[in-house]
Amino acid sequence: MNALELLNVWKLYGEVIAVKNLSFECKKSEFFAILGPSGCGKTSTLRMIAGLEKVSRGKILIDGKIVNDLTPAQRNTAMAFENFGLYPHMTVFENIAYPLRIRNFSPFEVRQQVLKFAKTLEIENILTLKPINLSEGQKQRVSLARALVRNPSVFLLDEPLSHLEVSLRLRMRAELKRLLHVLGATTILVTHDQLEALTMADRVAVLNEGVLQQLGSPSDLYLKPANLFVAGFVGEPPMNFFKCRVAVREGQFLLFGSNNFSFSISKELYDWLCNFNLETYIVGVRPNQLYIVNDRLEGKFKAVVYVIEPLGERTLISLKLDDNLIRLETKPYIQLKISEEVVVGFDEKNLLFFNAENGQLLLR
Amino acid sequence: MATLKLIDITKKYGNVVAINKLNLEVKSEELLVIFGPSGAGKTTLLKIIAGVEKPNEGQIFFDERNLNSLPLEQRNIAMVFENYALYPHFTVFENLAFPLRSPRQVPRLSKNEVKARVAKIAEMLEIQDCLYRKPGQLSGGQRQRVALGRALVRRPSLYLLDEPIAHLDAKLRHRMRGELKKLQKDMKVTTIYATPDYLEGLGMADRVVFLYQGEILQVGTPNEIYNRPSNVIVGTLVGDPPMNFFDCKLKQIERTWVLEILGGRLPLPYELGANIAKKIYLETAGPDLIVGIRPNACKVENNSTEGTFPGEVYVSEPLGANTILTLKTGDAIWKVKLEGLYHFQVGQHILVRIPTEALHFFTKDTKQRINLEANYERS
Amino acid sequence: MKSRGLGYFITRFFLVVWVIFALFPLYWTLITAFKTPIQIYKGPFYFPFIDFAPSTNSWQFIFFGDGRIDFLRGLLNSILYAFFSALLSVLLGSISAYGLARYSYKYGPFKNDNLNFLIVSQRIMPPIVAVIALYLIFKFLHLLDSGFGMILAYTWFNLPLAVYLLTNFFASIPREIEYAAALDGYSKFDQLRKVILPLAAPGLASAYLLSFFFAWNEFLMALMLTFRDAQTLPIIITTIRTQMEPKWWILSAIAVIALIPPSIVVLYLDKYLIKGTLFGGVR
Repeated sequence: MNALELLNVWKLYGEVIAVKNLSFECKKSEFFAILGPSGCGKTSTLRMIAGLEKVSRGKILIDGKIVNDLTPAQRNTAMAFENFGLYPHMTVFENIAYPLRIRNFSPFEVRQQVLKFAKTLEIENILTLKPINLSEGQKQRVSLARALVRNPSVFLLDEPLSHLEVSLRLRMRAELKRLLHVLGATTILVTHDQLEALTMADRVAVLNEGVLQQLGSPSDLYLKPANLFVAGFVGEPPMNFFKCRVAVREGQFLLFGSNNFSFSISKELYDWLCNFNLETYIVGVRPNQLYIVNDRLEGKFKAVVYVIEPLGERTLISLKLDDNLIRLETKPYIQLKISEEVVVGFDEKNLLFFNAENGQLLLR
Repeated sequence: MATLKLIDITKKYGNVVAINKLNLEVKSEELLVIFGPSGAGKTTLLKIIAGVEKPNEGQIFFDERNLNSLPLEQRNIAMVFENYALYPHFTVFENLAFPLRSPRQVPRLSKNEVKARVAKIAEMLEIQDCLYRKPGQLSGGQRQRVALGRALVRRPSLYLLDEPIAHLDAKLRHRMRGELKKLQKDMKVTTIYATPDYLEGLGMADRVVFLYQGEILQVGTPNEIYNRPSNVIVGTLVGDPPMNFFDCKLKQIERTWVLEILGGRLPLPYELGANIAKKIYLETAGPDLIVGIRPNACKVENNSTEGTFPGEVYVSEPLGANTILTLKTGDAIWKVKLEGLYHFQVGQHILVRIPTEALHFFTKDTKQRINLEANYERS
Repeated sequence: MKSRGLGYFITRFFLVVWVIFALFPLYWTLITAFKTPIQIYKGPFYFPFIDFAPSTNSWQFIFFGDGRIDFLRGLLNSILYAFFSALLSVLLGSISAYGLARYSYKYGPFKNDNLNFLIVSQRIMPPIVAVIALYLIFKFLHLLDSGFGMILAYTWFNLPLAVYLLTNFFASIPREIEYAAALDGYSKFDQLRKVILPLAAPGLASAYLLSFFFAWNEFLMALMLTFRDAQTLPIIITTIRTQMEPKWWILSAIAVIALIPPSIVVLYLDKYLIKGTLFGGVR
């Protein structure tokens, strides 16, 4: 039995379709992320799961039961908020105990549960303090303990780290991932930050304009993006895209984008592409899969250096080719000048091909 | 030659010292990044340079002219405010055209010239479709771009950009980073750019000023800031994941210099060890020091050899083409960044090699970098 | 679609009842203006043309008959005093308000907040306390029963409120917007003209409206400080009576007319009273 299941869920605000026919399931103790740009429907989805919004069409099941008509309180879900929402006038112990007390657990059981979670989250020594005296990290743990102390079926997180400052965010991300793993909580995380989704989740659902683009593990999303949107959204810096056709010239199999961007490909690749019988293809290649070569023969195309951004452990070079900007990642100690012409190479294996009409990935 | 000089600038808000005796020189036509976490004083500093805030002490010289008493409208500075400060009653077009229509705009521009310039900037920032809307009808990202456009539409002596692309979505932000850098080079206008994002800072800068709690910790090229952080704070905040720091002791065992680190021993090349020993014993008369190493410098090994240390996998974070492991060794928690996607289980025990060439050394009490002789420094 | 419960109809019913209750006095006054004395005393008659035959005798009296001189003089005076005193209040008030909102003053121990209180506290005191002193001052300055004097008095009366309203309003305009205009090369005066005043329009309009209404309805000071030439409409209304009781039919007509100038002002200024002029300017 799945902890959470969405079956053909739609959400309409008047005429506007916010979520379109969304279906997925989430297993117990799984860390599931819903990823997408602002306005894609992820927050609406989370709110429907929580019970804060009504489902326009379709069913939501928690632990196998249909919950469409249940109030948030009846659904056995827990939700964490951006600034933790701790009760400032209560001690840490009381904060964590609160959800149990209002459900009439006996004082003995309350104490037992609170101590158990405090031990797992390593906050036993701050149980008597008030939130104002806690660090951000401690507050996060208390907030987690309070949300999970009553063993909800699903734990919902809405962009929990976006308001945090960069350095703190990195630490909290790892912490949060570990704590949730240790507690075995079934978690649904909603975010627009693809880094966050990829590092934390077991599986990710990518949404765009209310429609599910891809559902898979982080490595699936990165290595085999189902369509152009996912390919361009996942991965930093973003993937480079080129519009191309296949051609044969003087016995050579070519991928032809423009006069400046054409290079030879292997027969296998050519044959495989011809199977799809398409006029144009969109080729995708990640910045870290391109490299600068010295030899024209080894390389695939020429481009002009537009901007050089040294980023510490690597350097990001933007190249200009036919009015397009191509991004390339290299090792830090490269000597290049602006407006210099360079030759770029890549491995044919790393290329991803998409159908130019519908944006879908062509699987090899 | 538009050079900006800040001399002993101090700014207090009540008892809180926001900027403390700050000295800085900005070279003509350079893109200077002011990098620091939130609360470091970046916005305050920019406001002082713009003239929006007055310093309690200190002087500002721009092109040898003392700016202290010069009114805002005469400074010929364009600024992008952290909170945009758009004119809510004007359309986007009017917001962008407003600076071009001011009485100080010399030479006077004709209606068509104004229109052309606005159109060019709007296109670069991808807001040409919103030109006739008002700021209240735009999204946060669009508003930010209008604020940026309003500064870029002019050609002043100095640009002050306060986190100008912080609220754009990732893809647009990436593009704008490159475009802004290129634009600055083309326009040849001295620019000061404040950001808490170290990638943005390193990528754009000719030089970086590391500001922390109102004080400058380091000034240098992006390379210098990344490869030779002047103290522990700089090392922590520049780099993702942050540099690992360990409290160590330097001891001499038989004739080898050895670093006691992570509950184990790391032998150092003789000259390196001797050099460090000389420096720390001179200053602190003790064997304690702090050693830093970047997560991406460490490698996972299969065999336990000299220079490898054990670690228990605490968290494993796959990151596209890399994997970040958080490890626990004894009481220490540290991070390792590996190229490629790995699947380690939580609780798994692995071995990590720490190369001595990649170590950074800092004194224990002042947390300052121990500078060694040239041949032992990374280039 | 939820079915409309009983609650919905009960709410609607009570709302209708309340509306009738609230609008009734207005309606009654209006029809009374079209009644003859006899119809009023015989009454009550509720519907013109159905219960009673409307007549225009009140209207003729105030516009063309014996009441003409007093009525028209009162109307004109009221309009002039309200219009100009509100204008002065807003003009002078906005200057003070901008200063209090943007600059830090220190006169000995008095800082901005103290100055604010000093100004606003003028209105805490009921005018009746000051009117007697005002009478003596006006007498000394030969300002009694003069339009100039009344405008001055009403401005004094309205200024504190205008300053209070406008200080808050100017303070709510983010400073960065002014700095942005300054950095864009505009002098203080130009900033005020092109940026601040347009953004403060709702505040200026509401300050004007409130000042206008206060002056329009004011009775006590008009009573004490005028005898004849400078009398306002509220005063005129009190003179329209027989020995026993007021002449309701004429009063009603005057009351109806008295509604018109304020309504015109509201209609005109309404377009400036938009909410959220500042929205979108800052994050």
